[in-house]
Amino acid sequence: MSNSSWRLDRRTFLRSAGVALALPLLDCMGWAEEPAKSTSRPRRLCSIFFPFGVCLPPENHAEYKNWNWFPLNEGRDYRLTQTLDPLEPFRSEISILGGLSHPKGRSVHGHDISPIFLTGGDPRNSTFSNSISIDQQAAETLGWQTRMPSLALSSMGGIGIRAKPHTLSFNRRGDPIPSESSLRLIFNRLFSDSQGANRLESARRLDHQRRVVDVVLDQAKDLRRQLGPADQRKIDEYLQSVNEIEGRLERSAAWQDKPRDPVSADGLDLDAHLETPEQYVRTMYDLIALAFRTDTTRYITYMIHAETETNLANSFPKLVLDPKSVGHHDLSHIRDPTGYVMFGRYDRWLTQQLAYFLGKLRDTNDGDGSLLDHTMVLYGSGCSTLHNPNNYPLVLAGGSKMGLKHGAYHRFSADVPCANLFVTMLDRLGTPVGRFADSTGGLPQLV
Amino acid sequence: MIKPSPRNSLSDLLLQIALAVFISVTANAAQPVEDSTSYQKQILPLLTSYCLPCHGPEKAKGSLRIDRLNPDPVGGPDASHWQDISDELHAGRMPPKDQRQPGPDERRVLSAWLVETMAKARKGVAKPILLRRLNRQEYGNTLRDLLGLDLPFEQDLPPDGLSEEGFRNDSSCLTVSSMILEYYQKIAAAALDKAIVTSPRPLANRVRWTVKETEKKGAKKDEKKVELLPEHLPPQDGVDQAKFRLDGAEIPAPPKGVAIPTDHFLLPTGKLAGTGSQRFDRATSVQVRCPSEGPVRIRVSARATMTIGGGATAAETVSGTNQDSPWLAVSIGRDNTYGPTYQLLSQPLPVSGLDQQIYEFTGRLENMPIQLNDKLSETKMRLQMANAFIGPDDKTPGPDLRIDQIEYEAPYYATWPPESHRAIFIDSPNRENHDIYAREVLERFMARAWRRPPSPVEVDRYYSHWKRLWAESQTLASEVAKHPPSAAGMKMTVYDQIPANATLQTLHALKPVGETVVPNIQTSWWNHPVLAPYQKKDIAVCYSGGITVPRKGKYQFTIESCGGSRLYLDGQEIIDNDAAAMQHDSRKSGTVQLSAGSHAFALCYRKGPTPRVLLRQISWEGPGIDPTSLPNESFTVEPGPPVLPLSFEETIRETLTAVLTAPPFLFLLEENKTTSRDISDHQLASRLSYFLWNGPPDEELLQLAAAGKLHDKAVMMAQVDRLLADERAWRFITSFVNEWLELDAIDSRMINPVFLDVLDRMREETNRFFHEILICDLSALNLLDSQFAMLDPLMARHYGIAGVTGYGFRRAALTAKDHRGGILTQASVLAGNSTGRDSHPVKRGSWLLRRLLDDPPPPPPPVVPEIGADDPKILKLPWKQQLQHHRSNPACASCHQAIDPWGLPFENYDALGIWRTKSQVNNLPVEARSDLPDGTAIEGLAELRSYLVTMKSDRFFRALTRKLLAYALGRSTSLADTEVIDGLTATFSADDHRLRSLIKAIVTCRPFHEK
Repeated sequence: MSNSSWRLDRRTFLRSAGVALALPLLDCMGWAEEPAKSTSRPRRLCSIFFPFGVCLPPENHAEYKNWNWFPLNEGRDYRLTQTLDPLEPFRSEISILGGLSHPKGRSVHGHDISPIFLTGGDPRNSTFSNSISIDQQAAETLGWQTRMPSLALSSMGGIGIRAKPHTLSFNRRGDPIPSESSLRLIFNRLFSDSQGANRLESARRLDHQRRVVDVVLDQAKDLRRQLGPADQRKIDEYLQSVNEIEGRLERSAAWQDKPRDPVSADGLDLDAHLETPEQYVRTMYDLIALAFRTDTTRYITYMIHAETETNLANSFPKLVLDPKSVGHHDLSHIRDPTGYVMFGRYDRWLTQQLAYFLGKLRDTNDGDGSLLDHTMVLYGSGCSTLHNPNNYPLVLAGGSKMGLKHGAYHRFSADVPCANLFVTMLDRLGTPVGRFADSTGGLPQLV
Repeated sequence: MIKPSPRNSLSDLLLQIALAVFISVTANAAQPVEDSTSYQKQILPLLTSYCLPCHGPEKAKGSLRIDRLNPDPVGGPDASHWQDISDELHAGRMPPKDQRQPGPDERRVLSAWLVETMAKARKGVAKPILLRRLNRQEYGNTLRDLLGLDLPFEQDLPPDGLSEEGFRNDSSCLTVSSMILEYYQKIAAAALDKAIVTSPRPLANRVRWTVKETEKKGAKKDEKKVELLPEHLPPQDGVDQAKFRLDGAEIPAPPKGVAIPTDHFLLPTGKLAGTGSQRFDRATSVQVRCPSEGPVRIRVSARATMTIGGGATAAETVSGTNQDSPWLAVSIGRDNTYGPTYQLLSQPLPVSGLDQQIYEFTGRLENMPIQLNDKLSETKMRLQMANAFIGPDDKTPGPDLRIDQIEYEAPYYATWPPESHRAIFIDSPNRENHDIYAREVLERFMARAWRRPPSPVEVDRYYSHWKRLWAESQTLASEVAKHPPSAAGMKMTVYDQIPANATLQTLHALKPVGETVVPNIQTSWWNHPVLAPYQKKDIAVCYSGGITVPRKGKYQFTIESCGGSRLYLDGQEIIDNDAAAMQHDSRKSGTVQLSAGSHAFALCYRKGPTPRVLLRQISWEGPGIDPTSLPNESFTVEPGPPVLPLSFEETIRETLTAVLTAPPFLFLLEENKTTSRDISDHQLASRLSYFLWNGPPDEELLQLAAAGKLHDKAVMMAQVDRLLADERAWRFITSFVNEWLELDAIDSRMINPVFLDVLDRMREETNRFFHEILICDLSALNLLDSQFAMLDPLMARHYGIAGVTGYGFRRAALTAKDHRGGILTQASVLAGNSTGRDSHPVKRGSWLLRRLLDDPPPPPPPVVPEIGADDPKILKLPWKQQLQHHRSNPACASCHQAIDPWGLPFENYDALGIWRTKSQVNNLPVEARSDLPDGTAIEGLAELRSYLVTMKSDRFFRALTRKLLAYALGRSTSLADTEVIDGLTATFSADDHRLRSLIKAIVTCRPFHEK
């Protein structure tokens, strides 16, 4: 055909479109290079949250031995109830943790813990201040090594409201990082290279953004000269933010021309939605496993459902157990003797999905072991049962090759803050911190 | 009854204070205490022996560590702590009676130093007002006012921090991060994209429904079926078959002797539905396909009737007042698994005439709950007409409403280009000269967006940004012109012997058996010259080329095929209709965001069980395109120019994004060329408007500022009255009242969703109440106790107050048996300070101290033992006993004896603020008796209210003054503001505590005019 040149002189074309800037930069940018190949495998973290706590019948109740979320004995000889029973095949690859919670969260409503679940921030209404979540902490140090430094997922999308956010990830200032919920969009964002017009359009957009940054930087610097020292500090905050954006834009530009390994969407039910919970949650887990396998990102959070009743995900129990059942929140308020069974059955359903995910990771080879050996999975809720913000139900799985020791049910006393777990996790991720939030040490039981 | 206790009367207290001052004066003369060395030598040792045991490194009770306080009240940040210490010492509360007490001389030295320190602090320089960014709400209001678009721009922004005072406009809490800046950039780009139009006027969908009465099959003799019949008005493109559904009950057969109207649609007043907001039981709705965004207009021809409750005639039912007219509510919503969810399009209107009249409702679809998922073709909305009249209870019928006709139009533009576009692209004689015109447009927009005229340097900066974009765009245009357009059509490649699960990649690896150019995708191979020979074989066909997209936006493609099919755009898989379609007919859709221009297109198909059909259908839809088969003219054999040159409007749009991301837009209060602390007229205009409108100054304020008239006191007073009379003052009221009274606390209570309808209105009641007092110049004492309430029928029902029917809030007189009056009795406050299921005296007491009396109790210790944690039996006791038990723990007692007595009088109000005499939780009678800290014994909230009015009103007025000043200035106050606050409180009191006078005093006080 006469004008296939559209394909050939893309560079010329881009230059005339004013996008030229993005291309030559690639050559001089360190992060466009493949990160130095080291023999050790990437260390990954996936944190999963579900709301409204778990079923914990009183010990003298008939259903205690069937549906108590926590196992029946402590230590290595613990016995799982029907709730966590789907994890039996992973016994040597998981630890069950009881008794942990964030001290600052103990005086707030048990449904207001999700903003600090991964941060250990202060959720109390009068003093609310959040801080960085563990995934972001790790991504800050090592996130540059992958195409996407981190990824926040949820079934709701966006950021939600302060006490009941739709995301588990928070930046260093405690601002929520918006989550993604559309399976197909997540797939495309992770794995497909946009080509042709859309690709050029995004290059052009990137270039425009960089130029906007230039203009506003000028404007702000001008303004700064006319201010007193206190006001200058405010403008400096702005200038620093603009510089950060500039860095990020350049990094995007660098990755943009680096082709991705082709990933097929075969076998992924990207059309699943919230009214088909099992397919939806499993596909989300599939995508997470795929993102890890391809090393597209190493730090992922997934909020299965926010602590609100207004989202469709609250009706998962109705859709997976029994249409006559009630929403997840109502389920957590046991109102009659059969209540424990229904609540427990839904807890089990959630466990089954986790087992599916862990199985997927275990069945995927990764270097000297499986993907599960090189991936840490934290699973749990910020409420034990009803509105009780103590004794979070937690499972820590995987990461055997990252130095985690599993096989037991550990109970911790109230003077061990949950952040101690984070210190150990961050340490094993290769992004050690001396302290995290209100930590007082690590959890030596796990290493 | 209120009985001041003999133990500790007010006069005692005054005496103590007078004594302390006297002591200080004498002590001062005797041994002046001046510098920090004397603090080290004389004061610190005293503090160490008497205070630090509890407020030092060991214990830090009430989170106070006196050893860490900076003794310099002016240079250091701790003046207010010293004030508290001084108050406690002089009131004799500290050190506590059971602790070691300082001797008289020691007390004198300490007191003298404290009094002097406080005097120094008050003479200090008040904190400057720092430059700050707009908060979430201000940002949204600013963009809405600037662009004239009613859209929730701020909804994606992260929440702002809360200042010490409890407000969200304090500079120290409004930090800037790269994340929030990226949001600003994204939001600005999206907002300008909506404000500026670059395409021809979109075709509107218009549908009209007319009420018709038809014969009902199998109906009884007199029964008729009334239904809405749709009629598509031109332009008809893409209008779905509108379906009709009656949500309410069937229209009952009219009683004998009543004339049957033949052309009306009758909406009896409804009983309220149980859950969900904005649902009406007796309503009618229609379903119609709609665009996913844009303005919408609904016009309804309706009239009031002479009937009540769908039948009985009533003579004089319709007087046209709120009370007894029917109200027409138009809501838009969607069906979901729980049933429909609706939201009001705009405020309901009273229908008073007995003759047909047109009622118009407009709004934007983006604000409506219409989208269930990303599938464009499923964007259907349910349009609901309801009679929003609410009667005294569910049984009593109200006035009926008749609907004759409904007309729907979306997108609805009164003019094209819309007002938002014309406000940016202003009229000018230089319109044709791009260079001059761009400068004019930029300068005008910058002046509005930045709330001050831009300097020539600044205009140059953005002009050259534009200039570069424009030059590049023109180069690109000439580049594009050099290339002849590609031929129409697409490449069709045929493959033989196909492996299962073939994808585009695997197909490309195969050797094609045929290739040709076709005008469009073939849906059948019947008689097709290339394909016909393969009819019996397992083949795959791949179509590829370019598809030209006319406008950027979200597009949805739909394939229906028998045989596997996959669609790719720009190399991304958009639809995977493979596995399912190999078994049977299957239809799938995919949505993608596309830029204007040519996109690489590929469609793969492999043969399924049906021999003659290739694809049943492939269609698309997008901005301005209703679902339709892909037209031949959109295809080219080779992809065309991948990026189209930007138009003039688009280059301006890109430049304006930078204007809206720059500090002068995002920040309040900026450069001052002089060293003086005075602010400019333009800054004053912004201060006024962000105070009283929570948004940007309008043209009038900016003009007064430009003319240098705003500093004139008379002009300013007139502007305050004008601003308060404007509807934008409502934004000030909601923002100030919600933050001052912590009304958002309701959101974090788990309240039975049955009450959702009422929850929405609780906050509004308190806002309306404040508004009424402000606008009608009533005394602010009404806030503590009033003879009226602002109620709508739902709130009135909630409270069990009779006589409020119809729709909307209005003043309602109260009697003692209503148990209401003032904000203390309002459900917003009572529910916000409850557990959600029961009352919570500690929360309520603490709220009263913090918000109304400005006497915050110390924060709770980090680990609060739950009440009843050690003994669950405690939880079975009434609140009063539970708290007594709690106070028996000495660690809790010191704070709780100051809090609990203020909360117990609220006990007659349950978690939702409903009056009760028995607790729903344990079925015991509630006890609302309390001994206040000064010894006064009171019983119930009525007595607490009169106690506050008689004993604490001065404290309350000062607290309100201080809070409003802090809000107006956007900074917390300090001791250095004492004089100003005293002055303001005096002015406030001198004018019968009218809020308007307080506001006027605040905007004329010195700090309001200073940096």
